[in-house]
Amino acid sequence: MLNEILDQFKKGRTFSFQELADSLNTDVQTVKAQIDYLERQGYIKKVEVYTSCAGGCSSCAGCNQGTQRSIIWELSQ
Amino acid sequence: MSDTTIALLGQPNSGKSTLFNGLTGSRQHVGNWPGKTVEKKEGAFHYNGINYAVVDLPGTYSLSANSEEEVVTRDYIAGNKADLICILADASQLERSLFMLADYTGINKPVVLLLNMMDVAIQQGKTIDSQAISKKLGIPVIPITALNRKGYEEFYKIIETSQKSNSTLKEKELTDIFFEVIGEPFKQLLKLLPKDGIGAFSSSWLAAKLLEQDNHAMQLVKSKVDVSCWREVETVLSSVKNGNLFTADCKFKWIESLLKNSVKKAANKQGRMNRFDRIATSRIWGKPLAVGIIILGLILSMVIAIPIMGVFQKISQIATVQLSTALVAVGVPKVVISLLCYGILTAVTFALMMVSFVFGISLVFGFIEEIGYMARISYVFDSTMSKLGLQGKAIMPFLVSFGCNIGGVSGSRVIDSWGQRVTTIALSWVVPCAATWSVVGLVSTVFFGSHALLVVLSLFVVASLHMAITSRLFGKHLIKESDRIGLIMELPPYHKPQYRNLFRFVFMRMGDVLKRALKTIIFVAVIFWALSYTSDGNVANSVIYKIGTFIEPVTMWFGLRWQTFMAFLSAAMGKEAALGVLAALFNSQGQAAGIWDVISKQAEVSTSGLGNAMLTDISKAEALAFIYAFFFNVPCLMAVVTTLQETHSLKWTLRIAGYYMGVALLMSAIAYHVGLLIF
Ligand SMILES: Nc1nc2c(ncn2[C@@H]2O[C@H](COP(=O)(O)OP(=O)(O)O)[C@@H](O)[C@H]2O)c(=O)[nH]1
Ligand SMILES: [Mg+2]
Repeated sequence: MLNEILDQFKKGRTFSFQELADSLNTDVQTVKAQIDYLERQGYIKKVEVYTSCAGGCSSCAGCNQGTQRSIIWELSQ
Repeated sequence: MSDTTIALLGQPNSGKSTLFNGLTGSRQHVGNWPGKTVEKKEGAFHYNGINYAVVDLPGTYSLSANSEEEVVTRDYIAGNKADLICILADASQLERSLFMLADYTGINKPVVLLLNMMDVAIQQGKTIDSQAISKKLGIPVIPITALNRKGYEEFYKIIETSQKSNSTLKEKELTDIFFEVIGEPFKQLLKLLPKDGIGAFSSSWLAAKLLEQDNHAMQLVKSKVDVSCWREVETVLSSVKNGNLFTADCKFKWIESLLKNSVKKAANKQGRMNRFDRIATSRIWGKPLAVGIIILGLILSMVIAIPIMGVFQKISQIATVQLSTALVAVGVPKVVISLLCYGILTAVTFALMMVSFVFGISLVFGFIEEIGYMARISYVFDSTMSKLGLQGKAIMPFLVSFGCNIGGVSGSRVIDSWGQRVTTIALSWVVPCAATWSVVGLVSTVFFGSHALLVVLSLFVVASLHMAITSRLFGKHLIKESDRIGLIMELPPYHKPQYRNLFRFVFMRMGDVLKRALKTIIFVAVIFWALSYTSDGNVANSVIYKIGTFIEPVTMWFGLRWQTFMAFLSAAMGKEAALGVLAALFNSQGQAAGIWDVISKQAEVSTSGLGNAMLTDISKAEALAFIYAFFFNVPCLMAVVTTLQETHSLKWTLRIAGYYMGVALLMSAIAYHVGLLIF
């Protein structure tokens, strides 16, 4: 199953845990545990994406929205 | 002297230290493991006349020997120092936390399994049949809540008996899985290894560790078998790549089958939410739903904003008349009245109206974010990103750009490939930031009333086309096919919105926007007012009027009056600056009555004794042209500067900026001519 998960990364798409669980015939918790394992072993890396203006836009009226945080995993190089 | 030594083993955060403290209280000693920097915690307790020593082993995820902690842990276990090993697993996430137990399987040492965090598991609605698990494993399984010291009774009883009963973990099932999944290499290794394993380690355990390229296991085996046998082992191992993936796979399978039928989750309380999520994340319905929700959100935010805006507009109309009449009566110089009423007051009104839109938009989209739907939007637009030739990650800077394009540009840093990043930045410029929205909302409501919605929708459609075309144009030079990478994304669970947070966020944002907008709009308005002020009251003599009328024949190709053209240019500095320009130029004495009067056809202000303003009208087609030019313009100067910083390429930054200005004017020309046909 771990190899199958790694294969999904090569499809160049974004998957959710639920989608992976469905396609691997298991449940979300198991997928999460395996993602964790792959991460610890260095096959994939977790990226926490914080996007905000980082103070760069005092001139801009729209900008003071809260930081958006997303957690994604991608293959390590 | 202690009668019995027990060791606590488990993954980090499984509750070892909590249990350790609960058991030993103040009877503990902290030092270091010999020759290591790893902390060693030992303690003692007394139960039923027996002295127990407890060791809190370092938290590790498995028993591989990669880190110092893992080496300490494994040496300790192999070293026969403990009479009983207690493996802790977090009952709220057994799929993950039982990995340690799986890794332990095959080590012949007395062991019990503690299912810790039972309180959390119960809260999750889980029922765990520890008897069933115990039967499958052949060892005692004790549910426990380490935080609750009063609930240790069962634990005490079991350790009292089990270190005598010498219970070891059944390994047959895991070995069977090894055979099934790994097959030949595993079989060959088992044949080569001593049948009864080495020390406490079974041959099956060692075979698995060899496949994982575990250094300690390899040394151990090498020292126990003869040279030719070791060569054969090496040959087998060289034929297997990424062996740890296979063995881990087996362990996860083992955990899955262990939990099957022994753990039940109560029928999900969030059943309805789950069904909604199935639709919200479905490949077919997810995107239409997201688009629908975004459009509905925009409509709703306008419905909220328009009445508030109307109130400010009314107040300002009254205030302008009152103020100017009063000032004239007191004999204040004309220049001051002109500045106050036409320059500043209008600017303030614009700022307030803009804030009304910010209120509507932040409330609605803040709500969508609060309940956890935002991440779904990124997820379902993945295929769209792929069509644009972009990585899935690109959606994140886009979403941020809805707040602020500068954030979007710097957010593109998450994209590793330079070409992808530049293309993402180029496309993110299309995304209208909150300031763009509020100005567009304001101007289009003023000119088109309730039809403003149609204008906004048309902008949406054209913006999508813009993105499609721009991605081709830029992607052609910047994107290679191989750049596309796969992702797994965590979608946070839905939750009830925290209204207090939401409103705090909305009001903070409004305050900030108001401050900034006031500053910029008033500043720009005053400059343009000054440029258009003449002592004789005839704007035709002002510098800006001369320049303006000089260029107007050209700007009218795009459907832009010289005033709206100047507003367009200044919008490239900052979106709200456009409002300042409009406020000043459509208010200059001699030039026109205030923009509100132009629009509402009320010439009250101009007839109130200030100059002999004539009524200048902007046609609807011209307004439409301006809205398009404005919407597709460069986001703002700071966004351009940030783009330069992020791309490190002056060439591409200028290309993108020039492209945007050009396209904006083209759009404006098209919108103008379409507008002429419609209105
Ligand atoms: N709710 C709950 N929390 C626990 C329980 N046991 C430990 N914790 C918490 O889990 C966290 C990690 O515990 P800790 O003992 O430091 O784990 P260790 O890394 O294995 O030593 C701490 O915040 C503990 O308070 C439990 O039975 N129930
Ligand atoms: Mg600890």
